[in-house]
Amino acid sequence: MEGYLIAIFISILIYLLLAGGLALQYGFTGLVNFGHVGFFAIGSYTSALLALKGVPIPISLAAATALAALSAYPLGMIALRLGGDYLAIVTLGFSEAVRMMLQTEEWLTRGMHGLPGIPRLFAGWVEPQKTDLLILILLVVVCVGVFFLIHHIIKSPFGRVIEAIRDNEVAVRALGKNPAQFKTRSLMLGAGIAGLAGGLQAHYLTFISPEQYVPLITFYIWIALVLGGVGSLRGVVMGTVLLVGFLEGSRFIRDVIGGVSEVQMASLRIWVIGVALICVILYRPQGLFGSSPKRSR
Amino acid sequence: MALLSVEKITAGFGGFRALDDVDLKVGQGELVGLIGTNGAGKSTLFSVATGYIPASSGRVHFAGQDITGLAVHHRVRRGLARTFQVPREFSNLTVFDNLMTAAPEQEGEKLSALVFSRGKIRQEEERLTAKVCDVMDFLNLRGVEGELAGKLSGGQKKLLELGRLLMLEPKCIMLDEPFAGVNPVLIEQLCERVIELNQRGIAVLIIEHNLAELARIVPRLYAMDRGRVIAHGSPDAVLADPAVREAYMGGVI
Repeated sequence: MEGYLIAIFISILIYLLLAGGLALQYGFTGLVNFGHVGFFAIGSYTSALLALKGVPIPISLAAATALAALSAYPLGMIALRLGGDYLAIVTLGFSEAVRMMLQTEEWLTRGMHGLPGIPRLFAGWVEPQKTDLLILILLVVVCVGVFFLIHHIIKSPFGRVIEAIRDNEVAVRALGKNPAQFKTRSLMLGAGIAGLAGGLQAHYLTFISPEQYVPLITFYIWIALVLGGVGSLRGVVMGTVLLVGFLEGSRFIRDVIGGVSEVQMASLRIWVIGVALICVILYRPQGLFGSSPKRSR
Repeated sequence: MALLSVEKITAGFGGFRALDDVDLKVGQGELVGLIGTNGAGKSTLFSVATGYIPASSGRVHFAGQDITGLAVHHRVRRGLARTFQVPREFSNLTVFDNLMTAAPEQEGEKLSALVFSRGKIRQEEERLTAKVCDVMDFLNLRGVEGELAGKLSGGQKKLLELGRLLMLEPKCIMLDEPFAGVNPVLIEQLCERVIELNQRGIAVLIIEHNLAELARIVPRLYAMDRGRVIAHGSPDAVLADPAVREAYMGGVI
């Protein structure tokens, strides 16, 4: 039971990192990124492959963050000159291309067999059952740090410009600023955070394979953002906690109430999320916890 | 020597010639009006001069340099700024933040500076805050500084756009229908401000349909029709020009 709760919380925290990155990109810059999972996958595989080669985990995680951020750079150069809808399609295509590459480049990734035996965080520090708790604590620290960083960024003059771009890009150009430059940086920052999340997940699960990185992950994060409210970090956190808590926790509910099969429960889960999403969009379009996006001084 | 000089500009969309061989000059510190019926090409001329729309032929010079091929933001950095016919405020930012955003070349816009030069950013923010306060005083925006820009009235949005331009300390401002949809009291106020800015040495080019108001403040006027400049000179001369009367009023007056 305790182990199960820890697993749920770890899952929530990893999604929280992903949501933080997307919030920076979409909530504060207005970039419609439908390929967030691609950066997550790049982070996972980078960190896993390096660690399997004997690179210490802190370094492999840093490399995962850096490579995910760098992979957003060419994407930014190509796509950010185009309008928002094009970016959505380009990023979705990008994440699928990443997944296909992970499937086919077997010499590197072992393809569909996946990568087993990835070194676990804190392995050898304490007895194996206790590492989960340490990973949970690490994730809490990382999440707090990352959200503090995001908060600091959006309250800065840089944050002012990206929010201005979200509101009216043409007017930002009229002020002598080059929006593409700011958008590329925002995309890279969000991608880097997703890469870090990917690395951490790989060193927690110890096994990764391409089918973990389907577009559904991206859309779960989008759902979390829409539910909670995109314009505020509080909304992003609450939306993610609610959604992932529900997704993971509903398995536990099935054990308690009984009489519902696993398949039925899966359908029920999607149904509940769908209804919740429709209700939020109808009655609270700014999200459950989305305050007015006014900046405080 | 003109500050802004548009020479033989032709531009179009598909087969349609929105601008046909247009010449226009704005001298250093001059106040110039631009009139014309809807679709005459006034806003297109603004967009070509500021780089939003490419010209198919002709040159644009500013402050003695050829800026024809420059991107919008590079032209703005040289001191050529504009407003839009429909205000483009940053609706989810406060009036104060709208003005702060407009300040050019901010150290705090660099991500590296957020980590390494936080003290410098703080100083810069203080300096810019003082400047924003001056601009708000000048434009009478003090009472709404904490409001979201999207919630302002149409007239206040026009003032805010003008305020953002002032943060840029431009050499020349191009105002696209600054008085449209603004109540008469605020028009008076806007007019006074524009004149005062001009007296400070900023060249101004104004598109306006409110001919009476415009003729009162500008010493020189251009009139356009169907993509061409059809008259220019003193307001009286331009408004009396037969071609202008024909185009504007269908010759009824």
